[in-house]
Amino acid sequence: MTALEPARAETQDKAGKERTPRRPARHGRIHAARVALTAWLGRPLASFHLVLAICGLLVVLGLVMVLSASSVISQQQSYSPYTVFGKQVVFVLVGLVLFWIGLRMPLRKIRSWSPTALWVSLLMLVLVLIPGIGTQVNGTRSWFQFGPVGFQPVEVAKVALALWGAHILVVKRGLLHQYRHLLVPVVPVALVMFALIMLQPDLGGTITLGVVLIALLWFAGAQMRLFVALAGGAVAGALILALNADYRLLRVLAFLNPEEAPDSANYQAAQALYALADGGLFGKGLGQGPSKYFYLPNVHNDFIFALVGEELGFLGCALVLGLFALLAVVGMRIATRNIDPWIRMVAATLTVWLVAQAAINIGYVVGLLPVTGITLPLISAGGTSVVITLLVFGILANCARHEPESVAALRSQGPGRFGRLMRLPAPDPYQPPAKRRPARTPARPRGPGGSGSARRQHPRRSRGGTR
Amino acid sequence: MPPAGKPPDGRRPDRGWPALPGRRTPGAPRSGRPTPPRRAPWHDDDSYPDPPPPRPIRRGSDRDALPPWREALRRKARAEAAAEARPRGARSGPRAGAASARRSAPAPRHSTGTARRVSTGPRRIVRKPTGNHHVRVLVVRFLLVGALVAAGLKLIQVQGFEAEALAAKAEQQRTTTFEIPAVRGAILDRDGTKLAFSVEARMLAFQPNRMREEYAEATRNNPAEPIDFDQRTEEIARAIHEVVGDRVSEEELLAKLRKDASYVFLVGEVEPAAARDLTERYPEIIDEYRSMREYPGRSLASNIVGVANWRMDDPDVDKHNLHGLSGLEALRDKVLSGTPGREVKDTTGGSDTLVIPGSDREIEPAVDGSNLVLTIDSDLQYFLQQALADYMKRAEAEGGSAVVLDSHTGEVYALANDTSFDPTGPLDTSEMGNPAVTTPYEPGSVAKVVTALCTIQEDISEPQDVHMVAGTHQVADRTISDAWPHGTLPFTTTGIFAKSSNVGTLMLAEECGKDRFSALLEKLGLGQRTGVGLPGESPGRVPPRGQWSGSTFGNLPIGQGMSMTVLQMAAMYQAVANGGVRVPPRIVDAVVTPDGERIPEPDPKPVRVVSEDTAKTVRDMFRAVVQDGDGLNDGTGEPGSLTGYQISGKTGTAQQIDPETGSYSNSLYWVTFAGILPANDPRFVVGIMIDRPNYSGGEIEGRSAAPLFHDIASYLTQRYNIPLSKKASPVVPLIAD
Repeated sequence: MTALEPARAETQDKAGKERTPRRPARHGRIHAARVALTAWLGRPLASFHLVLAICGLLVVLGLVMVLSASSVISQQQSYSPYTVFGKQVVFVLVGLVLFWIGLRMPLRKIRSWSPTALWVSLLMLVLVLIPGIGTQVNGTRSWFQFGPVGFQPVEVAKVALALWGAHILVVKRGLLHQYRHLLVPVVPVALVMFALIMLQPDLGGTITLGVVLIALLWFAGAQMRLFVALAGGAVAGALILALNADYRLLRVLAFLNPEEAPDSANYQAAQALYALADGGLFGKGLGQGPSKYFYLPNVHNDFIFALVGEELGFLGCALVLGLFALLAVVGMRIATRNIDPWIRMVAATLTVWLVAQAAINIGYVVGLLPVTGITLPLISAGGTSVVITLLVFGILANCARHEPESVAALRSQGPGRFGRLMRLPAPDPYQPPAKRRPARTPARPRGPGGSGSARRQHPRRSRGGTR
Repeated sequence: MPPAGKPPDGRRPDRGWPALPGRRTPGAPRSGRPTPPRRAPWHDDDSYPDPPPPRPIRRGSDRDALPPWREALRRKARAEAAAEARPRGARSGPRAGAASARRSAPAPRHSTGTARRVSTGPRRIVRKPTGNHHVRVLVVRFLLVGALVAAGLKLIQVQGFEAEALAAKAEQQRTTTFEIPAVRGAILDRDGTKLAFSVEARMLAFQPNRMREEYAEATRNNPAEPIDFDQRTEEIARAIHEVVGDRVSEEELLAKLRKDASYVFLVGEVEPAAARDLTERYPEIIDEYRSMREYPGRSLASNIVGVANWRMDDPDVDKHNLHGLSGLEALRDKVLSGTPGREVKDTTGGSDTLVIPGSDREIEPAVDGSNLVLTIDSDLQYFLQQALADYMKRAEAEGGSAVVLDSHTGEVYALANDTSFDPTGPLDTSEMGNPAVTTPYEPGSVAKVVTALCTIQEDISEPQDVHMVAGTHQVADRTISDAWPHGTLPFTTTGIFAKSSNVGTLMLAEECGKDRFSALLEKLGLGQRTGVGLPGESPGRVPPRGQWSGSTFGNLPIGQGMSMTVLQMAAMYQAVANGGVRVPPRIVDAVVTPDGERIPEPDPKPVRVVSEDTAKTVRDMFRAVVQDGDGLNDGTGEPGSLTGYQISGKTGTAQQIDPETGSYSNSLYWVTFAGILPANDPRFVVGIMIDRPNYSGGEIEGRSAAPLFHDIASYLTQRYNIPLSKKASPVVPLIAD
């Protein structure tokens, strides 16, 4: 891909101007690197490439760690160390197809399908609760089981809520100063989802979905007091949930007071810390972590970060943390650089979802948060999660290609090698909606004149943003 | 879609690839109505009030790119928009203003700020709740990165500062120390034949209480396949019984399996393969390592070798091991058992036995036990045991022992008792002793060799000198008579010993003197342990010289009033056979360490008892004991002779103290024999003792041990290919004419 020449020239000029007054010559190399980095980041498709790189690295790291973490449990359950890994590879392949679809599909089409996706996911959330259709695993009825592969509708619900919520909020963006427009229908739908997910019950899924909802409201520009209220509600809800189930209460108590907690309640957290500490700075080496030998429960999904720490050491952990931090930065960059309000909201929300999920997972593994069953995106073993996460990455990369500069570059310079290989269509430039009409006809009677083509349009046609 | 004919890079494609925004393309708005007027997008985007910085693409692209034919359309649309905007006034104020500011002449009242303020409608208020998008994005970015950085800081704490303490705990919970068993050394005979060795075996155990719970839990979790404790234990008992056979009955096993205990031992020595088969079928059976002692010869040399068995009396399970119970197994236990090693491994969670691959780190390697090489010849030992046991039966004796020594080195070639035990069967402690070294007896006439040695050594008398020997002899308050009544007879010195005359012996002993006699007893090792290297050895008893009463010297020369083991007796004759030098007997030849190094046992210290000439003279003199002299000149041990070989020996019959009367009995005897084979060039010394045979009225075996000596000597000459003596022993007169 070629950068836009003017942009490059501009950054270089700027850099040149900065340099001359104070930089001594010996800093030349560092400065040159900085200039090169700035120039690289200034390229129109930098965000897109960063998303691809982050996704690729996380997928590869995830596969390696899943192989390492699951070999023991696979061996025990099926006499082959590759059973879980094999499934994970299949899911990653499926996920890569979805990634490609998410990357290739025009965003306006995704947007137009988001209500359908929402309805489908709601339907699946209902169906999964019905015994016989949904399968109960470990006391949680959250799976559709198709032979050896399982499918969790909650993951689809997260994407659907993000896409559809962004769509609704963008359509309504003129009316968001009114609470009923801000909250309805997004919040009721989300609450229905929460209820359905808590019936499974799946606390982790609810929390992630809550993050998606809050991110939507935040980027829609809801007032601060709403978030204060939400925070209060979340604390109250957490308290109720914790007091409702003994195991949750134990976990919370164990988290608050690890010294006095019984061994069983604190077991996972303590084992995770042992594993991390065992790794030290450089780790024990891939495959060498002893904690996967039945010391650390769920080592291949919920607690895989502890194994990363054990086998790859602090360096490996820092790599994972760095990748997710980079994802946060790049995702936000995509959100700011785009001009289509829906893309802005979707990119920001999806990024928040992924990074927050990673942060919560890592947070409870390192002992900063109480233990909840939230997986580490792309690294934990887990079929639906990895498939949907790859789809989300695909959409995020698609959003990155819709940055105006990228649009211009792609349209002027051609799709480039990667784009050609992936047969990616050129992104559509943002078309601001045509004349808007208010949702209601103004009460004041209008004069007889005016209103040409715009009046003839049906109000529903104007949805703002991508079409 | 890539175009079919791709233009070279850097050049704008003019066909197939969508052109810059604004140009009508296949992907552009499809409606027939004209494209809306080009405006900077943020003008429309009121909910995102921070306008992105102007992008190069936007700059002037409209006008540059718009083809002339579209310019008209655009103008028309703009005019329409302006026309529409004006009547609506306040609502579209800013937009109309913006649009008109660029192109059409603005109406003054719309461009003023006051007009905006007065105007009402949704769009004005929109700004308020939406906040600043850019700030919100910044805040979120800060929060997300901050959360990750917080996790990173905590990681630095966990993996850096606290790493050592936490890792120590982690290591502690998964480290298991394994005992590496040391293989107990074997016990070999002089040719390397294994008398005892260790093999690996398994011990089966079970956890009844835990299994009760686990079966119940498995049944709860999987009601389709219930596991019934009673049924399962019955299956297990049957399976074990099939494998181990009749050692344990099924009922016994079942009782153990159903015991209310946390841990029960089921069967001890099970072959590893059979145990593996069992544990594969029934994983709840625990199989533990244990070593098993094999005694291929069973009762062969069992009184010497002893027995070792698996001990579990130590509360520390790791110390459970094979330990000797009797014999050399017990005495040389430390040498044989070696030192167990320790190995540290990581085990998987919840298990002390499943080892994490590659986690072995040996702390101390095990040092296997050393092998013990004996001087025993197992073939000879077998023969001696058989022959002795057989002879005991014929003699109807209570007991007996026999020993074969090498006449030059004092090595014990065989050491047998009438009873022996099978170490692989049930153990009876009464049979496990070794009376040949532990139980002394009064030797009787065999001890007359001491007087003979003294007589020759001190030159008191020559073998052929004639002594007038009366029927009785008074010593202090006792009257000693010969075994058969006779008047005064002219015995030669040789005859005194060959006919075993008590009176004659006492006459010679008195000439020898108490002190010299006592000194000779000590030199011959009587009253002292031989140091043969067997447990529980008795020193025998010789009254100390200072405690001798008047009649003591009337008893000692004829082998009463003192006691010795059969080994001491043979050792005494070994001095005679070895040219007057006594080499204390020994039974352990060497210790062979696991790496093959042979460490010989310390050599016994030889003792010069008499001169070589004296020894030879006595040896020759004692040949007459087995001579066939046609009645009058018969020796007492004539059945001990062996055709073709010169035999030198001495019979003995000692009275036992009757436990009922407390005095010497006339029916309870020790019948003894000591012999040297062959007398002209000694190779072996044989000692035999028979305890309480049927002395009167039975076979000859009840009165003499000489026939047994004959059998043993016969076997020895064949087994060791002992060359024949060049000349038969000369027949010498025992009673002078």
